[in-house]
Amino acid sequence: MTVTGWLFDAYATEHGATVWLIDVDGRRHRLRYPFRPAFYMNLTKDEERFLHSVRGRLPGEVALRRVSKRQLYSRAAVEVLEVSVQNPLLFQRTVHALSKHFNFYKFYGADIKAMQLFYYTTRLFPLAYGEYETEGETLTRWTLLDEPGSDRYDVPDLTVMTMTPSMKLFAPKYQRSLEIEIAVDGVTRVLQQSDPLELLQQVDHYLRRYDPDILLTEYGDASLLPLLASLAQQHRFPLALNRDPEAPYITTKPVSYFSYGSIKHRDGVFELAGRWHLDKENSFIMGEADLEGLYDLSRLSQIGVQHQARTSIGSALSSMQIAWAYRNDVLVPYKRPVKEAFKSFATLLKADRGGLHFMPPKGYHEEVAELDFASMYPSLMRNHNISSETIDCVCCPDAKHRVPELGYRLCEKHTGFIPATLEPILRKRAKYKQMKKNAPTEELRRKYDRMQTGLKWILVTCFGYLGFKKSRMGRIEAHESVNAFAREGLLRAKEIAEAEGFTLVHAIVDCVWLKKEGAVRADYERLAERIGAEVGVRISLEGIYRWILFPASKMDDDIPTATRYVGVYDTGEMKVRGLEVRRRDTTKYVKRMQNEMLAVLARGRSIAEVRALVPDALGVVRSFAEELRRGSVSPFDLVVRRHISKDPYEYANRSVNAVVSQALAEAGVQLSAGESVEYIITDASGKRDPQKAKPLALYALDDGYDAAKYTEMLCDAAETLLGPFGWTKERIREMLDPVTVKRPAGRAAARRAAKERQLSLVLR
Amino acid sequence: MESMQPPHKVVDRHFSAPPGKVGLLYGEKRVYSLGMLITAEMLMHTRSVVFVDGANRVDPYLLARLARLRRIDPYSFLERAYVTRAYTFYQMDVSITDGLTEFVRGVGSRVVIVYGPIDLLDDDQVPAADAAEILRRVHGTLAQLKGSGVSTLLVSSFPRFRLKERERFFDTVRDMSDVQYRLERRTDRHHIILEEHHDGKDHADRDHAHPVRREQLVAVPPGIAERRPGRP
Ligand SMILES: [Zn+2]
Repeated sequence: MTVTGWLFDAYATEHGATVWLIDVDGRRHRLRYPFRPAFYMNLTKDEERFLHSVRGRLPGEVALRRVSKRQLYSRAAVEVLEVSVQNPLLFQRTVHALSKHFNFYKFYGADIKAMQLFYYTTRLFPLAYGEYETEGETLTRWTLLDEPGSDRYDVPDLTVMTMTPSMKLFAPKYQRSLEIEIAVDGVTRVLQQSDPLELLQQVDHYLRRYDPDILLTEYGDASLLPLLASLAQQHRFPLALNRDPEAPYITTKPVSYFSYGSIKHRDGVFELAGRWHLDKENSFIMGEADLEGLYDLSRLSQIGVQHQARTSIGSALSSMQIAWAYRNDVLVPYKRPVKEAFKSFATLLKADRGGLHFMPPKGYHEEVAELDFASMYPSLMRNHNISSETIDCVCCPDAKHRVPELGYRLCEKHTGFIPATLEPILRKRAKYKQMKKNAPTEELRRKYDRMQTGLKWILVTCFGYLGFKKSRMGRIEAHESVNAFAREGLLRAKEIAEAEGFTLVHAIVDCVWLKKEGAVRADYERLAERIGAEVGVRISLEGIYRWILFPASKMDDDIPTATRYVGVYDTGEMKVRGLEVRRRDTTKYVKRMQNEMLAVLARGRSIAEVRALVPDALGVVRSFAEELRRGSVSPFDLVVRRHISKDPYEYANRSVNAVVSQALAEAGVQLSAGESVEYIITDASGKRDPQKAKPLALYALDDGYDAAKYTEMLCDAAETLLGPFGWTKERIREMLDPVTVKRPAGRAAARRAAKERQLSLVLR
Repeated sequence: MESMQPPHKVVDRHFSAPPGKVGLLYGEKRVYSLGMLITAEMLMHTRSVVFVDGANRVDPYLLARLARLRRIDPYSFLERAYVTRAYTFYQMDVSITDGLTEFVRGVGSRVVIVYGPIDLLDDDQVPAADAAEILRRVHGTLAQLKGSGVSTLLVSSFPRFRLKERERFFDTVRDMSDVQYRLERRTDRHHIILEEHHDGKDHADRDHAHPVRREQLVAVPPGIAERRPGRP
């Protein structure tokens, strides 16, 4: 039989893989596919004999055969032993058992997940459209009518059921009782947990009735699904969370772990079989690019949709690189990375310079244009064939193509794996941006924007320093090379601009800010075209600013910082980068004030006009400070969010983080290092109240807040904008009449916010 | 025995002759700047120095300044000091066991300096068994270098690990070395303490073997190793 449709889900079982298809008529098919994941070992004859002798003692059956592969860096052919594991669920345990007998550097591709090997070796990918041949319940072969890099594809109609805690103010971890809201088919129902069995029956009823493809939750990983699953187990109730009744859930526990000098926290995972569980609270990519961006990324990275939603964005590119290796019969290094080549300190000084920055003169500037290179780093890597194995390759000892300043040779015979994996991303992103531009409807415009955003994140996050120095297939010289080309490009842009009479105001890495008396849009566009043609990377006019502010650094008053600015384009649109309003650690209240100040200043069409608006902007500060002093600010606007670096009782000091996480621990909320806490500052000095701050979940309205501390935050944010006009934070504070306010009028505040009934439901 | 000789001169003199040994210089964080001072001293009389940096502490700017202080063209120092950097313990492994001896021979160097030999072990992602295996291989390479008359100076600050049980690997590193120099702050002065010395039977040249000395104190004028390097 032929099923024409999409690959929906796939997961490992003891017999191979279970594969779910959705056909063009909307029918769901569960099929088996015999699949044996394999890793490789480079052994001497003696070691190989030894492996045969211990074979019977491994956790499961393995098949051994000699195969020919290529080394990643030298491209040399090498004969290795392929170890196929008959039961995919025993793949990692088999590697583990063998690593007791063989050193880690004997292995290749031994830490890749069995399911990823399924995708790499079959070349299937999530949502792949094709004709799938079946015999009984077994998938036998297929013809794909689709490819991962395609930019026009259909997605099957998927049923979505949302399941959220109905009380949304706090994460369920902070709540004692649970109400669940289920929405499907445009109808929302609230289920209550008065009787657990009843709750289970209701949830089960909706799951069976609607049989959703996607269960979309908030906090599903951390609490909702684990709670439902454990209730079901307690009551021996067959809850239909999985579509496949025979398969287990795919779960991991939350962990705090220590790596590369910092503490990280990872939430637990609760994935389903035959149905996707997507947790909005545990997915960076869904927040940035929604479902469309997620599907697009998943297809490209060959990582299952549920897994792609949860994994870091960097693993998408890493997966594409590994897929490239399997397609090209190249061994994937296991643990053992390539080392940095020896270089003299003199070369190190040149190589380590990073991107080029020209510091802007701090303060306000007018009639400045911004030109941005599009995807500069990845484009340079593609254009110049920069890759871990193409730098100083063995095949091109006389290569003419060299890295500027550093002189590294670049391969002229083979395309490197980094350019090869970047190519489809760059191509697709350019296409989506174009489709967005030409979209006939607003809805389509937004869709293509989300899809290009998903890809943008791969391109942005994967070119950091870390991506190169620590990744298994990365190499630091690749990072140095792309930086050297970028510096050359930026310098060239500056030269061209200056030769045409423009002045460079500021430049960072891949953006330049220019100025020329009387220049108009067309002049800048012409310039961009010339620069783009010479540098080989597209550069376009982002806009012309009526005014732009480069504020002084908070650390050192005299230097502006390269990545903080705000400006108003000639279209009236505002662009803000790195200021308090854009920062995650700023309280809502401060953000609101700075936003209102910006709205005032945006009315100015020149620096002179902005100067004239300063009194109005100060008025905004005054009214915010007064509201603080009256005690009438909603505490929710004063919530500070910080990551804790230690487990609650590991703190030796009485820092705010320490007192807050300890207070939570005493209230029974388990936090671990790497998680974030939210609190309200009640007395920053700790003089009146040694507690200093109250965690949001334990906050009561008569706890008040530290008005003086929050006023200080307002002054800081106001100084960022008004500093160039002589309004330092000290002067602003003086203007505000420095009466210290001990406590806000508790009763008035209590009355006002008593309406926020949510609080009383929490913990007390 | 106490003297006011600068510590880098003392270590250089003690460590450089006879060649073919493994030394360990350890103590507080400033051992790394002291390491750069020793390097400058060495570059006055040796052809080149090769670094493996697992602590991200190699500092070309400081070396350039030290050259200028000696009225030497900074580039003559910068071009004779080589480095490969490691950011994971597995990179540390390849940096030392794969190609180091060939490189050292190629540039005709007699000295290898390893910064932070175990700093990268404070990492959940490196199993203890792998760590032990890598250190065993590293030891093999150091012995090989020693055999060909190349000395290795391991430079390590007191490792304060989050993974406490990993601190024991410091002892493994200590056991690899023939001589240990401890940098210690006592009241207002830094001291270099020579902790122990093999009787010389490992040395290539028996005649130059040092007698066993238990302790030698060198007072470091305060601040000598403390100055943070600036840009040249
Ligand atoms: Zn080549």
